[in-house]
Amino acid sequence: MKIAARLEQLRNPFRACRTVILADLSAALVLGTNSANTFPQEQLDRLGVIAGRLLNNPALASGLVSSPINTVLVMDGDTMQIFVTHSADSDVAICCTSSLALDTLEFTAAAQALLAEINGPG
Amino acid sequence: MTIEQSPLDRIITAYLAADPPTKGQTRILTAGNPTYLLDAALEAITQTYLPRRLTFMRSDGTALRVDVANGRVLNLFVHSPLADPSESSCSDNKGEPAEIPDVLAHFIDLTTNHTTLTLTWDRIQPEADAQSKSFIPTESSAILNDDHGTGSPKIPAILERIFQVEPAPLSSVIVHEGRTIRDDGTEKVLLLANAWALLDIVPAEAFDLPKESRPRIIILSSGSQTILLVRSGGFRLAAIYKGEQAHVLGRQISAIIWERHN
Repeated sequence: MKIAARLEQLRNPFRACRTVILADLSAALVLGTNSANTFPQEQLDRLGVIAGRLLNNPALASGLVSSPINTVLVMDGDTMQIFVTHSADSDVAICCTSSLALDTLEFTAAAQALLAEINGPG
Repeated sequence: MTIEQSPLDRIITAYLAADPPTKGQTRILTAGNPTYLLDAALEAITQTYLPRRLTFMRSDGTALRVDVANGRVLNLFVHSPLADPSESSCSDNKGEPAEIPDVLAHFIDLTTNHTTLTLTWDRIQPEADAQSKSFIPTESSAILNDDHGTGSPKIPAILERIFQVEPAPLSSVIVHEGRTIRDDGTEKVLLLANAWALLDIVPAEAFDLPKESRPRIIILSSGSQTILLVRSGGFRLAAIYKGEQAHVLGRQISAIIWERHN
């Protein structure tokens, strides 16, 4: 199944979820997207950049946590962005924009499962 | 065997080798005169609430202290490990401005190198500084020494609510414009405050939003620990929790926000 279809499969069960993207953290690049509505390309690109800065930034929580950050929730007003990566050595992340009503626990689990598939067994 | 030096080790060693201080002397190496690189480093340091005095202390007692205010370096001190507090004095040496950007450029990197360095900070107290320009790193300098007394600004209700959500954090701090309004006194407080500083750099570049539109709530999770950062007005709350609490915190905080909106 193509990435776009996988992303749609990820987003569909979550009505609060407006857009999901698959981002390359090292290049801060959007690899794929699925959105309920039209989402301007520059906003997609910006999500990719934010994902790279938050999840590919060891200094951010240095000394505070013993293992790398793998989930970030950014909340403001009535919107939320979630950034999820699979493991410390993974270069890809799932990003989601949603309302605050999103079940973040379930979404994160689903995103992790997709990332595990994308990353493969190795 | 070669022992690799940290950037700060190399800088301090170079400074001391170039002009070794005598016993008990604290040298002011330079003042002011920021350059392009210095501006970049200072922006990272001073655009946040970060305290205006940063101290790096090596295990051998050698310490580097920088005072910043209004976007400029006021003083840069290197403290000799041989210093005798009773003989402390200082001399103003403004002859080495070119070295300062190099020192400051390493500051952010050095915050990740705290296994060998102790990072402390204090607010500058102009009157006290005018009385004594000597710098003696002490145990007490590792403690946030902001005024907790009367006159502290009132913490916004939303932060009070968020501060009290369960589970209780392992460590927490609320800062207002450089002043620590509330903290639990643990060593993590220093690192938490620094996380805000680092995060401030990220949104400024990445979120590409005006300052007032930066995200108000950010929750970072590593699975085993969770960091909560909340901004409200001039206040910043930072707290660290044991375990995967991102979703619990997210749910509780969004409930507080919705309640407030409604």
